[in-house]
Amino acid sequence: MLAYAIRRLLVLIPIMWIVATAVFLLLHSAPGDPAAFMLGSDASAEQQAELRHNLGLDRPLYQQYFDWLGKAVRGDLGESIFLGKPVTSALAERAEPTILLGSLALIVSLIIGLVTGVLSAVRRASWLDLSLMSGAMAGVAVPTFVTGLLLIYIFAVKLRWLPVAGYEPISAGLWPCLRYLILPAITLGAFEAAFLSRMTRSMMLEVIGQDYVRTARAKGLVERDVIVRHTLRNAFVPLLTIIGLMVAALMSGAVVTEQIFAIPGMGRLLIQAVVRRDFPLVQGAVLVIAMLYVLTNLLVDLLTRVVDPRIEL
Amino acid sequence: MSDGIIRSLQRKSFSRRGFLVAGLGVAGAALLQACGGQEPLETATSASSASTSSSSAATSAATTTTSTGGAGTPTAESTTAAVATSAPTKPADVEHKKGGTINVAIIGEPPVTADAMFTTNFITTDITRQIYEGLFAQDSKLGPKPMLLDAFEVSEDGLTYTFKLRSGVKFHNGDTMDADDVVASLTRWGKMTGRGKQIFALMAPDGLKAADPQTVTLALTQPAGVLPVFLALYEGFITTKEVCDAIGTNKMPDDQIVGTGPFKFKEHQVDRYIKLDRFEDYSARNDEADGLAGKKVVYIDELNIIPVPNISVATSGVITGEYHFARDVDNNQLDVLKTSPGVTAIIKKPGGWICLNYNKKMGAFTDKKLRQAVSMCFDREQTLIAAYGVKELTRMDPSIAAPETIWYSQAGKDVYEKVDQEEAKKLVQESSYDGSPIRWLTTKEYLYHYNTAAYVQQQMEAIGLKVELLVSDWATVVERRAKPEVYEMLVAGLSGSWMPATQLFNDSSWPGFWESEQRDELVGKMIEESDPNKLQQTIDAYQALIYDELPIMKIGDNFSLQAIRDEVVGFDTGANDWYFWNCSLK
Repeated sequence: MLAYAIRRLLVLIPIMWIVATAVFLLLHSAPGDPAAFMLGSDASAEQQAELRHNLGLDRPLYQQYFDWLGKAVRGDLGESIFLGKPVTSALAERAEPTILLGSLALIVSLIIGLVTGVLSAVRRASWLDLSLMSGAMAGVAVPTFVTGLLLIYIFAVKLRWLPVAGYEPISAGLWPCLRYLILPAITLGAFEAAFLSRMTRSMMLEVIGQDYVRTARAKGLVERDVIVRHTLRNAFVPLLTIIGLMVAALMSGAVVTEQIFAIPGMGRLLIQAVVRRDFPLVQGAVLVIAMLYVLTNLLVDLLTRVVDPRIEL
Repeated sequence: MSDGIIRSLQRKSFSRRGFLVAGLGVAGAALLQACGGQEPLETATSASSASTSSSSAATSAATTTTSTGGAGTPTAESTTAAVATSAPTKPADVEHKKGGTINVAIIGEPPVTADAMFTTNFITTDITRQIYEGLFAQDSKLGPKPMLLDAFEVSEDGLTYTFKLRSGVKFHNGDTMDADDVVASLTRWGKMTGRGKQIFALMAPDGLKAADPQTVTLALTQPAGVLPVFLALYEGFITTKEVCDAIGTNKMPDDQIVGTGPFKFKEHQVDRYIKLDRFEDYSARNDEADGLAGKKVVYIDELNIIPVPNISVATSGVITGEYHFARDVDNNQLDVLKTSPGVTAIIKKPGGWICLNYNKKMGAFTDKKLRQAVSMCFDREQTLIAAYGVKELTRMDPSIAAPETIWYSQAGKDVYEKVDQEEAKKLVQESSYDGSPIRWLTTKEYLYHYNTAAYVQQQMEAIGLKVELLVSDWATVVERRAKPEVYEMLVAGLSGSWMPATQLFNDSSWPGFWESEQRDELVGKMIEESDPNKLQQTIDAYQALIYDELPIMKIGDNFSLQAIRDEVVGFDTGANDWYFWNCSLK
């Protein structure tokens, strides 16, 4: 397993290079000028050209590419044009809100998604199944910004239980931090839960008709053990892959949710960087996110092997 | 803008800008906010540069005068309308209590915290206004009044300005302001801003000098009656010579924010807040408060400016009391605000205006007949409603400068009001239009762009034109609009509170590419003119020229919607942009 992990880590290098190059080329070939955004439209062409020169954006593209790549290899992702600080620091500052939000949303989605998915499968074709799957369908169909705004309306504007938006770091205390994250975590978690619920139901139904499940029942095992130990565990292998991708998505920043709830996380940083054409920041953020996906995938593969030792890596 | 005007000045021997009721209604806007964040730059700029002149300031340039009280001859009307059940409390009605924090929701992060010389971004200018002051400030009628000056004199020929500085004015770092600071700041202004460059293009060699520690002189080669107006804008702020020397023309880092204003910079956490504290050693003027001019007293301890990218959420935050003031509110939430207790909706006037901006350098609209045809083919009011959704937030008016300013003009009203599709069809037939699709750059990032395009497109097709909407994100529109070969028209959002001479389309290199010697001459006259009557005549002639040549076609005015909680007493900024001195918390 160790050799496999090392091999996968080595594959990370060409993947990162391909991602870095693709992002660089795409960004620089897309229209849009960070100097125009920074200075405002009142600025003359001369002022914009001067700023572009100061930022090094008037150099040949290949030169900009190799300069950036050379630094990136050494761990220097450059400086954000808009924020005027190193990209690595900007990303590090945004890690806490994103990790906290992502973790809470993951908890919400796992609890809701797995429980409703299993219940639906076990009570297949019942009113409960129909209700839960209708809810899941709605959860997948309703965009997160609508869910978020509705939750704000109910819990912040009408009931006044929670703040509408904002963020307090964990250093300010657990509750001050959590109260800002509850609504966004439910918003984000509900969307992922709906997807997970449907996938869990499908996987469970595939397994529930297998011979070994019938055998378990024939042996007189209680239904709870049949479901949890024999059915869910076997259905869990493909689910693990889905959950792994969910983790990567949640940890790399929930763009819309962070924007709506004004959470200063990586998702909000990334979308702003795209809008402002902050090239170094977008390049750096995409690299980090790509790495997160690759590493999470590796972790999922290793975990799969732990859950099901028959799987060869 | 600036380059074109400078060229024109130099060329001529011269004489011469239920909440989502409750839900799906604002969903589209919410998504846009989630993915976007900033206003289009012209609109942003407009908020930042509410320039207006004062006829008395202009007059002062023509004759040798000494002013101690300022300059404006107000003709403007009251410009802030409370539309909810209770109006904002007037400053005179209340007793102020000291203390507390006011939370302000703004739509995003500034590209630089408080350097209005570096950028015209409206968030930057909003913050600059709280921290810095200039030699002049805009009074409640948007005219220039002395701020850091005790007095100023203008020579009889209008070429030499002598500025007497107030003594003992403290910077936030404890230093006392002197003439060297003013010279250094104005020099930076002259290098970095469009208006500063206009003035410095007219400057005599070594024209800006510190005559003594409390006196600055500015000598010009040609009169510039507009100087006090320009210096009253936020970009003409004064900081220390040390800061100017340290940063040059680079953007100002947060640790160099040193002004003389009533608030001092405390802390900036990107995407979380910008905190400003009351400046305890603030050197207030003694004359009566008047807009951004006069006596300023800060009662609150702290101003907490919070970026809230989603304007629906910002409005909800005002309703719940988390924010005291939301600078930008979704138009669709006007009715929600009207029924929310403890909140007052504010329709901010003057605002901006939108127009069709034709590409006059290449393509179909180089033919004036086609510009005339399109300009008379669509109903202005319907277009405004399509663009902004709420009629209360719009106004039909032909003027380049809003009625709230002293540059208001009705010249060209007949052209503005003329809508005649039959005549438009004839003009299309008489024109050189060859049936090719008219490419219209637009974006859904700012819905008024797209909504306007979608509505006018139908009207244009009704008169026999083919129209192709090229929809992209805003950054792409900004890049493409500089290339005359890739489009025929687009919508532009411009400021109604700018002096017409400073409108962006006066620059022939600005998208739309309006070249006109007559325009250059009139703009030059506006810059130079100090006599209010002659200035008005020039503005009338300039506006008539616009409605004759039709480089653009104005559609109408729009106003922004803001919201404030009733706990804030004394907040009544009138025509000026928002500020939180001379008001307090209950």
